[in-house]
Amino acid sequence: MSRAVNGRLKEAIASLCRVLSGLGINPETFRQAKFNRPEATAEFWKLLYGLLKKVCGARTSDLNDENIDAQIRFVKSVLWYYGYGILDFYHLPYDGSQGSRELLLAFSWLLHTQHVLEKLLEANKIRVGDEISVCMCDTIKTVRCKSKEETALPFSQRGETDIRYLQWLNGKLRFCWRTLHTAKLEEVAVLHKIHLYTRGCHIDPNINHLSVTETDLLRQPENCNKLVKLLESENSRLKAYLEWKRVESVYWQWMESVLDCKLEEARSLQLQNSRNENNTLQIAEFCRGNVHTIGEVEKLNNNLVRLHDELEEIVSCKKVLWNEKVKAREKELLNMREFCATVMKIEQEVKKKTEDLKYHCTHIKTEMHGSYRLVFKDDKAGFTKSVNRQSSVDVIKATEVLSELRRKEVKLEKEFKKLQKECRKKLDEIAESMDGVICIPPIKKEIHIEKSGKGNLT
Amino acid sequence: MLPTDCAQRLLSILNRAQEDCTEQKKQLEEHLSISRTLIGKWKINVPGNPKQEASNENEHGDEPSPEECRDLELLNKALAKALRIRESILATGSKVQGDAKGIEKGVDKKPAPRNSAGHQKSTCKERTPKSITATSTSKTSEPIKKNSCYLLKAPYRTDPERKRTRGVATSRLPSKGSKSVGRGAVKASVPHKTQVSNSADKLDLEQGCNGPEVMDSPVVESVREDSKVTKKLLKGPEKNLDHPAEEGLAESQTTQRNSKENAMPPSHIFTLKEQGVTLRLPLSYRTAYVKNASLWEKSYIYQKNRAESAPGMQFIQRIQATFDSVMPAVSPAMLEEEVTCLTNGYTFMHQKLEAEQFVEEDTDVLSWEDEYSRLLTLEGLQNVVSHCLLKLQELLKAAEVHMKMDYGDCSKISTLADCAVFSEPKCRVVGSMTSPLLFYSSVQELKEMAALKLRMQVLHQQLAIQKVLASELLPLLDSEYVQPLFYRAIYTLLCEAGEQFPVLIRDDLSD
Repeated sequence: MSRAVNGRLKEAIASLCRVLSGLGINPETFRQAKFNRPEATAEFWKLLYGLLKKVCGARTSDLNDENIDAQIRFVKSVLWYYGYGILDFYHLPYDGSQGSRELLLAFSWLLHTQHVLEKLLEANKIRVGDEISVCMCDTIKTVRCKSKEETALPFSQRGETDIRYLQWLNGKLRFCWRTLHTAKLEEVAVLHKIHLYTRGCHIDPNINHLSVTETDLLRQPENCNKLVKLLESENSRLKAYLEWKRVESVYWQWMESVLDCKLEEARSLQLQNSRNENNTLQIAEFCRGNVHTIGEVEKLNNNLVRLHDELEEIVSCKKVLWNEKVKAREKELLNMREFCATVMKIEQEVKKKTEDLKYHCTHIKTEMHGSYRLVFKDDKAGFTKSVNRQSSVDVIKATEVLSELRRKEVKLEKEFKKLQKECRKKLDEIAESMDGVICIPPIKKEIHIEKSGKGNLT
Repeated sequence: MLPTDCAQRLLSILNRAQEDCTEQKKQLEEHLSISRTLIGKWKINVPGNPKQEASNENEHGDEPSPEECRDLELLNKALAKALRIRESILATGSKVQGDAKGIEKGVDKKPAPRNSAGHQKSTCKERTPKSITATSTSKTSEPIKKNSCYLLKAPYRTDPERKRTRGVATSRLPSKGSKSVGRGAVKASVPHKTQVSNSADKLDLEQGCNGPEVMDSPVVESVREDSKVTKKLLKGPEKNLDHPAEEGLAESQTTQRNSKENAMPPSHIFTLKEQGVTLRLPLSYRTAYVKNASLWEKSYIYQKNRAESAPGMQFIQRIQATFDSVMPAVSPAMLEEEVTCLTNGYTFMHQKLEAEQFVEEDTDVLSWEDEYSRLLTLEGLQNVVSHCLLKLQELLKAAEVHMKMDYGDCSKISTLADCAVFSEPKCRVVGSMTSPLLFYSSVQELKEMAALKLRMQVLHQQLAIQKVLASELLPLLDSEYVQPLFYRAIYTLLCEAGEQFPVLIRDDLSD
């Protein structure tokens, strides 16, 4: 490798390390890893663990294991999850004593295919604005986390439980939701006031007003330096990232040479011991599997089969009806050509619709996700005009988010009602079989109480 | 009575939901308390000045000696006493009300400059420890600890110019409009150099500083001796906003000048509602912010232009070529994604079918065109379903391969959530590197958004609870004899979300 290339490679690795600063990786470690030096191994495991924990952090909240064995298991499971397919990697020992080259390869693969650098920057982003997430990912997470802990923590309740206690708990929960609702409304009201009162105070014309964090900065200026330092360190990371993007190609060329090294070594090893005996993979040792998905696949399969059968029945039935109808009408139809044209037109229309449907079913919809900085823009100010169009700022309006949320809410509500209805059906059956007792269900409410309570916004 | 294990599961899910809710509320309250404080009255102070003051002392070498400090302490005590008396007189006499207010203000303010004492390597701080402790306690509860606030600071110098402004300041009630504020700014910006060791004057002086601070950026400039700067100040915040660079320049000039003079760190009571628009973010923050925003934008552009031909593609292709054949073709991540996608598709198609059937019930007579179109639509739907089924078969195969590699270990784990590390849905935006904005135009929109989000969260939770409740409680009703009370409780929980009760009537005709 020429000296110039070498220099650029050093530059690339150095900027990469700067982006990864905080995860404690050293440019020298990369060089050591190329030659599979054992001393680089620990650092690489640490890097991968730290990186993946940060990037998949939200999904693996229960992981704060200091023990190297558990860390290695975690890293392996994540790579398995993303489909990294080099068995040698999975066979690396759990004491973290060797395999730095394998780790370098795995890291580089992640870097490219999973965009971990970008995810890392995003995850560490300093948020000074008042942000709101436009999707429900975070809340669904809390629901699931809960059921996870549920089995981990046995509830130590002595004695028998009366069902009325359950009812009481349920009522308490509902009360809690209501108070949370009130608190949320107060929060946004205060937030809005801050936005309103600080109009014209922000440097960014798109934002115009201050956020809570920024206003608090003015009230407590001693926090300012801290925040500025944080921003500056992020700036240096971002600069390093841009630098890395500029010079990364040399890194990838070098990685190919690392791969060559490995392949060469493997070839010579294979000559020595004729067959690599270790070519099975027992993922259970590091990964706690994916029963979750297989259960879902099976359920989905059943649902689809049922839908398919149902459709088949309906369609065949309709076809018969249609044929009869056409036969009956045949005499009435004067112009055969006109008829054909209409049929063609309908067929084309439907074909287009079906194509759309097919696309819809095989592609993930692009829904709104993530956190947005809340910005107050008076309608009178005409906010489409005030947005700086030349910048790449992504802007959505609250009305869009609201309609999306409403749509999802209706869907969920429907699902919940459906479950209740199923239960009601079963309970009605049981009531009929009860001797000497008549059950009069409560009167159907026209408006959902929760909703009417919450919809009251004025 | 419920069976123990069933009760345990039910109680655990309800308690967990409760904890979750309380936890959220706690977080919300914390956040809310910050916002509430911001909306209320707060004090504003200038961190730059105390430092200058401190360094000033060092430069001039006129730090108070220990003897002086002792004297000062005594003086402080006497002063406190005098003020206590004065206050009690003022409290009774209403005609000097304006003055009293001024004193109160001075009192309230006094601890504020000390707040920023952390910034300085102040020698004065070390030498007058008593006054420091006194003020630091008064920081938390200002009005009650008035007395301790009257403490003098070591460099007891005052300036007569400022003293003169007092007349203006005291005659005015705490500034209401920007007009009076502007006036205050001029007065306070008048140069002041003479030293006066009269301690009482100093109190009044502080009060005189009330005005300018409203005008000034609280953290940036404070005292300006130059009339040019004063003029600029008078022009108001708009000017500053338009020319941040100019302001920055002026600021640095002022800082230099400031270091030569002994500036009192002024502070005042501030409400966001009245004076919020005059706030200016500190220069250091603004610089960092602007830089940060532009760097993110640049990174985002890199992201957007991310093409398949990106550097490194060749390496990836080569390394993936060496992947072992034992590995399943579909990774768990891909599998998960595909399944989610197909599940969404299924729900969508199911809804479509329901809608079609609904139309059918609705209208008996349809034109032949409509009928034909609907027949074709259904056929199309059927096609899509078969297509999805085919795709699902592949996924099922892949999932089975994964299962085999597990050696069936996973089936031992009881709950799904416990099993999969990655069972939680991820937010797809991660890694997009944008700094998106959400524009809202009224508080109503904001409120509705918050309410809807919470409502959905509650629904998610309700769904989860409903499922567990149904699976645990319904089997309990299968027994021969069902207690009416028990039945009613279950009915309420399962069918009415605990909101309403059914009425059970005893209908014993035999009696």
